[in-house]
Amino acid sequence: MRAEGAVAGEFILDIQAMTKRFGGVTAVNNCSIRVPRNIVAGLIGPNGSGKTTLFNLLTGLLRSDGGDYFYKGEPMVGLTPHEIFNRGISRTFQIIRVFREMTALENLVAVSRDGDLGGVRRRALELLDFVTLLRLKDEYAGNLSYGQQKLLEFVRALMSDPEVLLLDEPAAGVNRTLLNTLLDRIRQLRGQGKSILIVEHDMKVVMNHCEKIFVLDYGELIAEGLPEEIQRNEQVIEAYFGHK
Amino acid sequence: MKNLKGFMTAAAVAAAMLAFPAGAWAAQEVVVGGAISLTGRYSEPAGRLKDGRTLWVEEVNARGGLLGRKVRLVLRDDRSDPSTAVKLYERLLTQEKVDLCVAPYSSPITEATASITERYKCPIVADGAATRSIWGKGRKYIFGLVGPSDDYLRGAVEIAAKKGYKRIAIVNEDSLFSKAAANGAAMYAKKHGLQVVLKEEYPRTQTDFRPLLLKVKALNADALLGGSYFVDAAAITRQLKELNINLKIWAATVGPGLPRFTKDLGPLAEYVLGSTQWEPVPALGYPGIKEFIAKYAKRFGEKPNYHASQGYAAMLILEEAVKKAGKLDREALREQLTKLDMMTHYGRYKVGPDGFNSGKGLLLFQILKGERRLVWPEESQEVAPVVPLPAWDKRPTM
Amino acid sequence: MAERTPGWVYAVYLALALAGAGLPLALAWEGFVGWLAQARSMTSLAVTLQVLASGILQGGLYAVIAMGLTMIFGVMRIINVAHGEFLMVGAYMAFVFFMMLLPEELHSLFTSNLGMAILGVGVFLLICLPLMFLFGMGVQRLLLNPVVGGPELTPLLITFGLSLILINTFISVFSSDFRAIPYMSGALVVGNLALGYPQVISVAVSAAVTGGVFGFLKFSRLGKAVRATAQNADVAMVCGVNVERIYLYTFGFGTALAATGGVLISIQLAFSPEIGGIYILRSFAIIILGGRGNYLGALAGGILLGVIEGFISFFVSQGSQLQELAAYTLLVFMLLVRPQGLLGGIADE
Repeated sequence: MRAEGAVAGEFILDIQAMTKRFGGVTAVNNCSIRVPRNIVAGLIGPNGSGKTTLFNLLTGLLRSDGGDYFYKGEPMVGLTPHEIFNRGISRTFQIIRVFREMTALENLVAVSRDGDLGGVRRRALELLDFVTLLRLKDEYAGNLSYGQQKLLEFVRALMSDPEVLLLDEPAAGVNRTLLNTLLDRIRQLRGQGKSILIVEHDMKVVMNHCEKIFVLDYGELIAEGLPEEIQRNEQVIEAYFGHK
Repeated sequence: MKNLKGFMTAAAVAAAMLAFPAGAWAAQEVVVGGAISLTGRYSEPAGRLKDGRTLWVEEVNARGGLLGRKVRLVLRDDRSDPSTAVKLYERLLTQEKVDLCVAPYSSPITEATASITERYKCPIVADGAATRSIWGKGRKYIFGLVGPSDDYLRGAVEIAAKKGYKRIAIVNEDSLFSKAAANGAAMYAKKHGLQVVLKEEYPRTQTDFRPLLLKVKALNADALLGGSYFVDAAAITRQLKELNINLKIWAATVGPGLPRFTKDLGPLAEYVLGSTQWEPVPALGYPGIKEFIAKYAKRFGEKPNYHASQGYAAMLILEEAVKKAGKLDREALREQLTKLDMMTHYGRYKVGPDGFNSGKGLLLFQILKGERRLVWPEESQEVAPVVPLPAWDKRPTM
Repeated sequence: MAERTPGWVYAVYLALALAGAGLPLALAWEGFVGWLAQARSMTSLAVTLQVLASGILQGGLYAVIAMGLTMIFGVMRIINVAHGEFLMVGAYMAFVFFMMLLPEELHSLFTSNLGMAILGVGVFLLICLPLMFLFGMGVQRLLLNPVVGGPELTPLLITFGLSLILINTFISVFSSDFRAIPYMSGALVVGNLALGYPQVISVAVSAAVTGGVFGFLKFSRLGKAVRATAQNADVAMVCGVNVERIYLYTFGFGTALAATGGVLISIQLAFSPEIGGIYILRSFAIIILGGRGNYLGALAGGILLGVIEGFISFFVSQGSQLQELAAYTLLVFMLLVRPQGLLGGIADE
């Protein structure tokens, strides 16, 4: 089965009515999102609205309880995490998860899959340089600052040269300088034709850097559109400020 | 790991029960039953005991059986474990209802099962137990055959004393017989004014004796005496060589007296001294010893060692008691075993009031050119002992 | 954990561990005075060196075994209770190879000289380890894969069941008799020091295998993936590591390491189907001592336990009886005082 609309390659991710329940709680509820190709998109919503759960579904860490999900028109539900990764979808985590007891360089080499070790090393060094971490390549990841770990995790997700990058709160706890580096690199990746989906609480970041925004509440998509549209959307305002 | 052991014990007993339905014996047979260590730590000596008994069964059936009935020997494997043996005897006596009982091998197992055979009033000739304390508890249905464990290492101590070796190290497994042998050795050493520089026990599961032997070396011991069985005696001998420890005397109980000791260790077994109850030496002068050696060698392809001899002797004694009683009645049998005075190829059987065969003495041999040769006491000596033992690097290379 | 702990801290811990294990045991027996008198009468530099050397040789063997256990625990969070039985299987493979498959004329090959003896063990390991690697992978695929990541008790019970099955299978095939391989005996004598050939060979093989494991984990990409999985399986998964395959390899490696230990035991000591228990206990003590999932910790812990045992059985009266107690004491002591182990481990995350 192919998803309509994917034929022209218009949408890189096509999520159709995905659902995930934990016991009695429905974390993601019949959620359909279409992410266009070559974009920086934002995924926002109040705490517990199902953003991270959706990332976990997309990367195969969780099995969905219903719905489908297509990447470049290919069905992805049922694939294992590393298979999904190998197709070209990569992610970072909300709470940093670098391999603390490995060096920065080893963090990147460990997750590589292809080619000769020399090539892999070269790419890893390039990427460290890309985020200004080259001089720290032999430092244990656990010894890096919080922001540096975020950057490391960011480039670790780039090791496989993915087409889709899922970033879970990249701005949280990062100082201005490193954040600017990060946002700058995200723009560069966008320029290289990649699609980036960002979960973020910092509205300044979202409104200034995302071309399109999806809003989740109680696991459902309640709005999508341009930043200025979202800012004016009554439903969104109610979701954030209205109830409770 | 305790639970694990319990589990396996239960499994072994269950397997035995499944394999042999209760009371299936043919009515005309005399069933002689017991548990013995067919496998495990004690399997070497216990296996020889079993061979000796087997030979008797074949012979007694050839000459018309016991009281005109065929004899069937039922030996169940206790896997060298006292609690398994206890369960097996319980089963043999209550459900399978054997006519006569034979003893298990080793003092610790005999001590454990003696309470069962006592409870069901089944007399046994304990051909695999040498520890006096088993007879010190007022039991009425257990009869001794072999010399006391306390005397096993006496010969080695006397040789050391005669040669003027003063420093004695004693090591032993922490079980009934080995303890008694070690205590006996210490007692004789004291009597001869020798210094016991080390007296140490090791657990039944020990296979690595190197740290212990380093201690023996550091203490400058002249003689090492071991209250041992097979596995430990063999391991100690190997590891003495491995650590290049040269002793003037290395004597051990049980292990060196088994044919497999020389077979397994080859040249390493040379010069090791060992305690024995009996050796296949016709010069010992017991009635029928020559014939027994010949019959056994023909049947099993090797000379009998003392365990084999004991197994056979115990059956002869039981046979004699049954004949005298004229029936299989256990009380009558007990009475006969109490007053019987009999010479066999193994020596004299005549128990004291406690049931122990107190007249039986021990011998000491040395392995020379792969043969066990009696070296003590002097009246039984075949050759003079080669002591001090040649240093490892002075021995011909293998 | 990320900061490097200064060396003197380790020294203090070491002293504490030694004191914690050694002193109560020494006090327990015959009184402190008698002990001191005996110890003094025996102690000399040469003797101390010999005991130390023997302890290190023994510890090297412990380290290889514990490393397999720590690897499986570190990567899969499975407490492999059957580790001791995998070791036993390795020992029996050596036995079958030497005593049943190898013609008797060739036995002398392994006793003639040191070089040939090492070569012999090497050849045998080359045959045995791939088999045990496959066996380990089979166990992982068939028994553990369905339950990995679930409650920790389930794999523990499965491996416990597996250990009982292995013990009883080997008892029914080989009986519970003790077996020994007539491997090269004799000693390398250096001055006052005597090091048994089997033990020297064992430690040489242990060192080679340990080096191989470290090199593999440090430098190969698969090794890095194994470490990554150990640190965070979920992350490794979404970063393209086929975690299921890593589990498969890891269990294979761990099993092969246990079997290496078994082969090395078979050339120096007698063994029966029930010996696994002796070594699993020590392995647990070692990985608690060194830090769960920490390879360097397993190496250090193994050697430390070997030396401690050597010193206890040498200097303490009735020490042979107390060796096992030492391992238990260390285990409990470490769990109370420093549960993450000397060099830190998974417990502190």
